[in-house]
Amino acid sequence: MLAPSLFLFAQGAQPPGVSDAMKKLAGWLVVLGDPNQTSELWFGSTLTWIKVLALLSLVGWLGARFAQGIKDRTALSNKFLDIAASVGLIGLFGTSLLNVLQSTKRVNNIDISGVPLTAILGLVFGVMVFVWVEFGLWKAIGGTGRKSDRWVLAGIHLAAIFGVGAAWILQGVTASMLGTERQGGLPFLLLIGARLAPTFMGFVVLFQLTMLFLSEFVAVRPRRLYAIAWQTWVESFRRMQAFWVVMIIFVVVLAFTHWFLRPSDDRVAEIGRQYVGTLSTLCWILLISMITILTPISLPNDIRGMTIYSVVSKPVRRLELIWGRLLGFMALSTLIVVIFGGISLTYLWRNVYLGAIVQTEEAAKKARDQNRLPAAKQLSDQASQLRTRMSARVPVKGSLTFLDSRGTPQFKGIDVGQELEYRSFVEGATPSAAIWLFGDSIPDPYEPTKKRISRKIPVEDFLKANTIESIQDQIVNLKFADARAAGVDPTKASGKEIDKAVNNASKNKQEIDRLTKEYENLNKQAVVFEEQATKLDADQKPAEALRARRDAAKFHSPRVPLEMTFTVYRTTKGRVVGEPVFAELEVTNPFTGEKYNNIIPIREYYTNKELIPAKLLAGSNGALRIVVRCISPTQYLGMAESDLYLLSSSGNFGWNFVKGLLCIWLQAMVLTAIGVFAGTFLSWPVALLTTLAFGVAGVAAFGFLQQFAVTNMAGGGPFESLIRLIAHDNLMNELTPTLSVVAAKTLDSLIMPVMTRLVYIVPNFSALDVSNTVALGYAVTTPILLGNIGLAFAYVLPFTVTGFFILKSREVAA
Amino acid sequence: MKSNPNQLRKIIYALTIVGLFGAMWPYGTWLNRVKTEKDLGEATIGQIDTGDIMLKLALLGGARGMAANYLWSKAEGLKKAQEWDELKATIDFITRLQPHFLSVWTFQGWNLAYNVSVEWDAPEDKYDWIKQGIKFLQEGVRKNSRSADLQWDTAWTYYHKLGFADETIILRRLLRDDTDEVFKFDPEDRVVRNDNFQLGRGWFLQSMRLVDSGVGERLNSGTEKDIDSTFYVDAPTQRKGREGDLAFRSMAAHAQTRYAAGLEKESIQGVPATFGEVAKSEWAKALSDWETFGKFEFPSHNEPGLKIRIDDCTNPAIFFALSENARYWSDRWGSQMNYPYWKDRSAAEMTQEGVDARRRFYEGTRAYKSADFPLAVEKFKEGLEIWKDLLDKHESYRNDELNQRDTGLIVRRYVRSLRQYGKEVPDETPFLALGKASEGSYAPDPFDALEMMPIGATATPTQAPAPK
Repeated sequence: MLAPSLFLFAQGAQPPGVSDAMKKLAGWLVVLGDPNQTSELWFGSTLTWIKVLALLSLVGWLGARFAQGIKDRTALSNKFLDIAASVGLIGLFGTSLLNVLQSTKRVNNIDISGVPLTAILGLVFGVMVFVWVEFGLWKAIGGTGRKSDRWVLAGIHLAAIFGVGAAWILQGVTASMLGTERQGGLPFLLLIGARLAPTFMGFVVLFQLTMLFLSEFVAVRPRRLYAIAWQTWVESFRRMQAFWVVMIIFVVVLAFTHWFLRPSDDRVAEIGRQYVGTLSTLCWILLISMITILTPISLPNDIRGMTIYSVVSKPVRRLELIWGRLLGFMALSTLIVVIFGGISLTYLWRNVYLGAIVQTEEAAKKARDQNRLPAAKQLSDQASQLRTRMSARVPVKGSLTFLDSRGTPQFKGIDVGQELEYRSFVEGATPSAAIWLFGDSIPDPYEPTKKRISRKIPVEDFLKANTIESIQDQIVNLKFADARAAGVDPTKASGKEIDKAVNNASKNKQEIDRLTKEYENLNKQAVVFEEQATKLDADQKPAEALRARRDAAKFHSPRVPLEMTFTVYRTTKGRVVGEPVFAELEVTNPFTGEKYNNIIPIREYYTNKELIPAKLLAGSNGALRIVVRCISPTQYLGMAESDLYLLSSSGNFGWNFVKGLLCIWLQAMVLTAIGVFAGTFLSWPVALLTTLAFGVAGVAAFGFLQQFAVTNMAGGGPFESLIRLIAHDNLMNELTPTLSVVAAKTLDSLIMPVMTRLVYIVPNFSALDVSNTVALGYAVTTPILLGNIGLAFAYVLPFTVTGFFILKSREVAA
Repeated sequence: MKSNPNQLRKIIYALTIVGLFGAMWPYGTWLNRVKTEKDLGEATIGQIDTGDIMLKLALLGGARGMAANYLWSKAEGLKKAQEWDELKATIDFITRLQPHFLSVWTFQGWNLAYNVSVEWDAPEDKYDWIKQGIKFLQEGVRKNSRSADLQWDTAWTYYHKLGFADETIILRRLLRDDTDEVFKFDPEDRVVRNDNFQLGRGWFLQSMRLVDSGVGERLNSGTEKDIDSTFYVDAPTQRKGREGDLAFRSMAAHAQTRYAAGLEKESIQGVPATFGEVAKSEWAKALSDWETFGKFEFPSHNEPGLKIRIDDCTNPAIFFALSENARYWSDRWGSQMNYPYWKDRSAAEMTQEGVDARRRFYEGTRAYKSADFPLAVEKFKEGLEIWKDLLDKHESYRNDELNQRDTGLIVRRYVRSLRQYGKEVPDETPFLALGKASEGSYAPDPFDALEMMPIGATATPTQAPAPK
């Protein structure tokens, strides 16, 4: 009940019988209070980040203060409360046990006046623990006597009351939305409150910490940062020899790559992918290993070796100690990445460009000269595919829906029974089709009637300025604007009606006339060259005709490249052995009705390329409709949304590879922050293991943790899974509630809330990894890059700042 | 001067290292001797690869098995994800970890040549993947030079996957055009071949030779000798070439027959048929291969020491002199392998008449397909007459069902050509009954471009129809 209603608010659904203001307020309360919900606006992810920071700050602050209290013997001063808290903790465990027993039907559900017994017990025991913590906190903070802490403590309480108030509002709105009474009474109110209040309380703590951090931040001086960074740099070279070790391993491995990686001479099409993937992985492994070993050792060694005394006795800020180290290590990483990048690019140039592309193209030419035509075609297709991979393409993607064999619109195509469900199929020689829509406002394939999405084509990227098509585009757009101003829908009206409307509404008439003149002028010049070319062709002067055609082409925008990667599913071998499956391509400009049709043979697993006339985009307002049908009877064509796109540009591979390396560098930075952070409070072996654990979890377990947090995992938590693993039981089977199963489930119910929160701490390295994008020949665009930089700093900042607070509270050189 | 404890420690370490290395030397010598005795040395099994050893060093001991397991399941995942090139790279890695684990080579070679190739639509791509599969198997042979199985697998892939696929006529053309001479090298005759059946024959023969040479004794131990008496942890078993493996011994002859038959039709896209002395000599070679097979002595199943020669069943003088048991097995295995047919067919086809008749059938069919009926009638008529005379001398071949179906098709086309030409079918036309029997059961030869492709199609039809 609770979760769906919260979800409803976050989605901004329109509940009946609730005023708009109340609905908005409830929505914002959820978005601000619940860490699992966020706004769909641009700052949504930042908000989640802040909420997570707030929660972590709260936990950290409470933990630190309470631990301090215990240390100072101020917190545990009331024997009665201590006993009550112990009872409370045991009671909470017992409540979990009871809950599991009830859910496994070992014990019947017990309700007391409509409220489950477990909820009441949980509340009672929770209150006992709460009172103990509360008492301890007041005592502890009273003991240290810091003024700001007292303010924060008071603020936290106000925030907690605010949280419960928010819960009360939500409960009320939910009730009136469903047209019922308030449900669940006090326990539910407190439960919702318990979900929202910590975030609000966290905001208070976060505010204090931010203030403390800012006061430290303004005192940071580049000079001192540089000094610490320089010391770290020198230390890495002199004491650890890290740089040389890493460089030697890299060069040795690279020198013998052909021993491990042997792309076949017969399949050059994808060797670029293999080499790029291997080089990126190698660079990643070496850099990350170096960081894992180097960064967590540095600070503990300084502390153990007491060299830290000589540093902190100078006027160096604690934050500078951490950021300086980060900078020093990152300078080292930068050097390594730059050298790796240089060597890798040279290697790729030699092996892929000169070694594969050029050689294959030469082999294709030779085969053509020797009249070995199928072989020649194969070689040139492979070289072309490799060239495609060794670029940085910027695709403009549409939204895909299907028509099935009866012509009924479907969200997915036909399932031909392949294990890989990514692509679905259209049947040959039937009304079945795949439809890609581009445009500013097109139906969302997931909710076609409710939601609209934007897949607008940046027309200006495709139409060259001052060409026939770009002027056409401007004219059509102006005419449509005029028509709209005159109350005529240009997408439905006929050309005459639009012209009439344009003539009546004189707003843009002058401009349209000027552009029309310019258009006619350009067109006239182009036609002259084209006629010349035709004449030259007739006179058998192909070279001159070609030149004239090139001159004519200068007045036009270049054709728009369309790339497709489809799969083929055959039910028969086809009409003639070896005949490819054909696709019919139909591109329509929905505004002007301009059409382009072609039939193309599909080469499976290769990038099929087609050039469509630029005039289709003129007046398209960024919208196109591309329909692909399979015209070979009894055969099927498989496609997914990313399988067809307009190619906006095809950039330089080398630069893209560098961007890929930058993303590896970002991962190294995150791990460096974690390593330095771990070094602030752990001895070096433990810090090293911690960094390693973060690294491994970030690479291997993030997806798993994410699943943990979002959904209920099949097979239960870690303890239940262990039982299943040992008993060779499957995931779906309900386990017999034996003693061990009940115990495991109880432990799971206690540990799972902690496990699910791990997703907030473990860095998402896979999100930062773009090596596959680079290897596939797609550009790492600026938004992706900026996003990754933002994400990396979203991890680096909290880790280093936490490190600073820890180092500050530690008595390293008091 | 004070003694430096660090210095002393370093000296002790250095001495220990030297001492251990010293102790390793006699141990290594002993180990090598035992390896040679037990036939377990890397160098005796096959070629040593530096990369393999580096990898094995890097992943010492048990971790190697785990890594191979992981890679194996990753390969299966990549297959599902249709990431074929990555799949190839992954299985290459597995073989680097376990270069002498024969099942990896057999399974993955088959996987590439049969399963991956079929996932690709264009015949050119299919060819590339079949070639990758064959080369993978050849790499296995290079590293396990004593495995007759891997050599047989290589031979089979050349013979069967390239020779019997639906796209065979195109695949054979691609092989013919392939400039990779290592791939087209016949290990038996040590020359470069342009035909997959010839290559298959070469590899079949080499595999047979290996089994016969007894070099594969270690391999045989898994089958013939008592496994308990040997000390192999992972006793190698041999699948092919065991005693009584009739099919294994017949494959070279089959491959040669396919090659000879393929010469006399358009079995390669865009390459006209070949007749004359070339065809005659290839058929003669096929006969010789069949006789070699027929004269091999197989042990009988029920009488220790009794050797059976399949060829005896085609020679009445010898056949009736045999014991009843020997006659039984010779006859049974002869019919099981369809030996009389193959032998008689080769004997018939290798003659001048055989080649002449085939040439006329081919020319007649070409004319028939291009609607040149007078020429078709002339060629079919001449051909059928020669064919009749020839088959009268080769009863076994004449009575064979396969031959009757082929002959029936020729007669049917002859009759049709006559009708198109406006002539009566002469009563004395040979095999007229076969022609009638073949009515309504038309199954074109999938290995003949003349039957499968529009006439005049020389290149792969990848040209699209004109745009609307």
